[in-house]
Amino acid sequence: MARYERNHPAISEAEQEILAKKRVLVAGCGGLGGYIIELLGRIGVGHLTVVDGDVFIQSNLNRQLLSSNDTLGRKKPDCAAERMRSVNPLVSLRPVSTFITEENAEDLIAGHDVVVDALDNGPTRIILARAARKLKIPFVSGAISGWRGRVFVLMPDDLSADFLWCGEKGVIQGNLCFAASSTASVQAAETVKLLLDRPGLLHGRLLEFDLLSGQWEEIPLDLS
Amino acid sequence: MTVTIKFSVRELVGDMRDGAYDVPEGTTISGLLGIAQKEAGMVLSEEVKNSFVFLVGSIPAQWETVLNDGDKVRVLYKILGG
Repeated sequence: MARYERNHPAISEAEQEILAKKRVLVAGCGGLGGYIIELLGRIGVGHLTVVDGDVFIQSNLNRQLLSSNDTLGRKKPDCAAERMRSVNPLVSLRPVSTFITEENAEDLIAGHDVVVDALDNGPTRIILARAARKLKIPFVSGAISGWRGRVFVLMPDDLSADFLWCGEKGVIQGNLCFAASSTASVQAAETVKLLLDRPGLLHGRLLEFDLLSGQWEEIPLDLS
Repeated sequence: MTVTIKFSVRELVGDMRDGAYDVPEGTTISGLLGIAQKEAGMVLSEEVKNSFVFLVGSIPAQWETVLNDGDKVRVLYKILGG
């Protein structure tokens, strides 16, 4: 298919067909989520569920791909659906305008092959990661702060990673657009690797990078 | 005993150095950071301390984790944005 011609041979045509059948839930349609949704749609993941309870506001404009002067005030998942109809109408995108809670997390993620963390706070990450672990769904976590990003994959047999997200917020450094797009790109790649059973997952290690210093580092993380 | 520490976010810890520290048996991560602060002549704010997450080797740890000789403490930074 001409649309996916440039995906090959990095992914095979057989893998392209596999992607078309896969279901991914992206939790968050903001700084990370906007780019993740775009990338997964463009590469051809067939079914996306995108979840966010927010609407776009001015402070989103510095980094959120789906935000523009035209989308201010509109529900983020609806904008994601509209964008995907234009970018890749072969993708079935289900927009869900709600916040993830302990009550709805498992129902939301059930039936998906991968859950992608594009959230913006610790407590919801904890809820979502626990739900993914309970339903035995791999979880691709990503987060940004200032010039920095962090990505890692949680597999269903892993112990909790709550220690990374619990407690007080700490120092706030803002969220820069290139930290968001870089982190999201790594998350999208990890998601596709999971869907295609490709090696080299960021599992058992954190990838942390600082775009200011130019340092990218793998930090061993044992959650076994 | 000797333990080492490495900070991920240099701008938050000022002159607190990475590297080896001689500490008493039974020192916790909290104690280690106290020693490191004292050596650097500084006191970390509560906001900065709330930013920290810890690994000992590759294992998640907490402020009250008791260290052993040779432990490598990694002080990460809480990254939560999206």
